[in-house]
Amino acid sequence: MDKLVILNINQNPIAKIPDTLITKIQDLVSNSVEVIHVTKAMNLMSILKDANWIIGYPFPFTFIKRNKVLKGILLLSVQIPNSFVAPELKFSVDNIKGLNSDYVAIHGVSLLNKLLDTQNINGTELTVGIIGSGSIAKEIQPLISPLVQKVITISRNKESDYQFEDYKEFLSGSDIIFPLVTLNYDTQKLFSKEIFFSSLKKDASLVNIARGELFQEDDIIDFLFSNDNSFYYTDVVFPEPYPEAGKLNNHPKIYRTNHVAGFGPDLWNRIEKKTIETLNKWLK
Amino acid sequence: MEYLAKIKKIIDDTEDLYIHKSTSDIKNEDKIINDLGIDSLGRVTLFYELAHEFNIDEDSIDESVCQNWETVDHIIEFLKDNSNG
Repeated sequence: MDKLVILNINQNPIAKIPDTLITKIQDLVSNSVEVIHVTKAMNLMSILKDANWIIGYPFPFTFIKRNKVLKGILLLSVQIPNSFVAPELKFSVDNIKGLNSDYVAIHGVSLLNKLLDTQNINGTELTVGIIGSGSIAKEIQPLISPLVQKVITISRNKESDYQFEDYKEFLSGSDIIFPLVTLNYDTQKLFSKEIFFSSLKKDASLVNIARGELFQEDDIIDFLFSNDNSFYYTDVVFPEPYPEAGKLNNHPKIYRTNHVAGFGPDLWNRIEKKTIETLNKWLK
Repeated sequence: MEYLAKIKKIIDDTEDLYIHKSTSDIKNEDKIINDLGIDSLGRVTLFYELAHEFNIDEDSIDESVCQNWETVDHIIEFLKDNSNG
């Protein structure tokens, strides 16, 4: 009998895969597939080593390195890690790209508004820099434009205002920056102390609705310490749940929401539809 | 290669295992969660990557041992006690 694993390790109440979706999956595969619902990281290696299908949040590739029977993965994320799409891999990978970009964009705007209001900043004199050209970047740009003097963009996309050859110029011309790129070792380099933080305008602020891992915490803390009017408004940190003693907690220049950006009111319905489509494709 | 250097290399080489600082700055006394930002899933990942690198028989050791790692030194102690060359 084939084995389908539902990875439900994320304990954030709004991020947990709802019981209704789990029941739907079980009903859909009926008795032809063994469904295993996982809520803890322990024993994951032994559970995933012979899984045929996996549905859930991203997990390190380590856990499926030795799996020879994997046929498909549905990641409940907008990003697919590079290691999951290597050409030699035999399984398919689907994800929920685009399903929640409108929600994430709206939350980004609310963080921007919060920053402007709380710190008494006049938005009409500001330039906002958006790094990336994906679906969230496209959604958020028209929402931000009316609030500030100018929005500038940078990405590998030729339609962006800047290309990465001019990254330092882009950074030094932005008062508030939204990093909206996927996370990998290459994009992480875009946010290094040497390149990113050393090129920022004095008193620039950051709004992060992408991934906490893009920045090294010490770099953020150092930058905030050196720039009196800089702030970090973020929806994402790592790890999650974030430790009480973490450096980003209780910092006077950091405002944080608890990774809620993507979870709009209709998200789980959208994910359910995508899950059913994917399962039907798998079971064909 | 000494234990700490190998741990740093494995963290560098393992995609999806991100930490709060540059691997070159990792110190023996760093706390796994608070200083490095490695969560429970990350610790299990590290357990298996280290087991592979240090020829540790995964089946003979309960992976839950990694949930007791509080600092990098605890990982090094584990490797000293269990590695086979």
